[in-house]
Amino acid sequence: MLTFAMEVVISNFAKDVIKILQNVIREKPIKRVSRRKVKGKYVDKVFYSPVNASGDLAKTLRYEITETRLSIYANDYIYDLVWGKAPSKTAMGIDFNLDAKISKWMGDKGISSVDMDDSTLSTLITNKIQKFGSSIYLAYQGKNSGLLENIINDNLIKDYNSKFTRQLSEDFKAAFENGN
Amino acid sequence: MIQDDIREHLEVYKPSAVFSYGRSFDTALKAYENEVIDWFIFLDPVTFTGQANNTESSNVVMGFMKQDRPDSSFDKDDNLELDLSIEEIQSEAHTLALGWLNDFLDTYRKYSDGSYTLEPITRIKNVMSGKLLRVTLNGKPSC
Repeated sequence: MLTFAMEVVISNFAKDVIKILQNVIREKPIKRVSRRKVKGKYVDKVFYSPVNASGDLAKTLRYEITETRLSIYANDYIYDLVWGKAPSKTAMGIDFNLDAKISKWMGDKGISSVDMDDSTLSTLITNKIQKFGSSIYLAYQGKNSGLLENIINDNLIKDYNSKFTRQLSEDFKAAFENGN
Repeated sequence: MIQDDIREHLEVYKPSAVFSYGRSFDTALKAYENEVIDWFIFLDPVTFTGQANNTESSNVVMGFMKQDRPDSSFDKDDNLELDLSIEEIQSEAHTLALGWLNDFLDTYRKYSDGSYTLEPITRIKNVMSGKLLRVTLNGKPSC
């Protein structure tokens, strides 16, 4: 059984990791590629941008502590931000699920066009992602974007290692001396 | 036993607090969820170390917590509600823990080498925030 003190140490660690993750999601610039058609040819333009500046994804981060494991959960959308969204295999028709997400994303970000209505624009964006993949996918071609790399640095590990070890030793001592 | 002394002392020092010892935190929370109106004080299993001069050292780890409303914010500037923010709860818990420690040392003739730690407890189990006090108390066993 975890002692309360150990639970506090683990939950503080989880919260620190979540804070770092939230900052990364909101602020870490990730390489992207935008593909446009110019004079009949596709032209790629590289740019850098945070993956979820609105912070909606960051808000979904939560942790769970059990007797044996610490888990940190996020909306599964984070997978698409790490690996990019690959071109859809069923490009025959519109992916309505993706279209709905794009539509919501446009609403959240206030994206609209003067030339067309919002639903047409979201369908065009959806079609483009289905055809080429997301801007992260285009930049990394299905490889890891590095979004979550190096966020748990040596200092954090070192700091908590000593706290875990100290607390484990104290818990062991208490259990031993109390005959448990 | 030190846990009995702590319980007895808290009944006088902070009668509105709910004190728990000897249960897991989850079990204690379930047992007391309707009783905690003010402070919830949770004592972890205590380690005792006897010494040759008939004194005893007790490693005490106690959580001083208040219920943390879901709409409170860590930053009190953002917290426009009447509920205390997490940082306000932690500040109050800090004061309570130190006040309690000083009074307990005086009342029960225990002494500490002056080293203690107070770590933040931030929305543990999504319901409680406060401070975790770790201190070693020395003195003659009370029984």
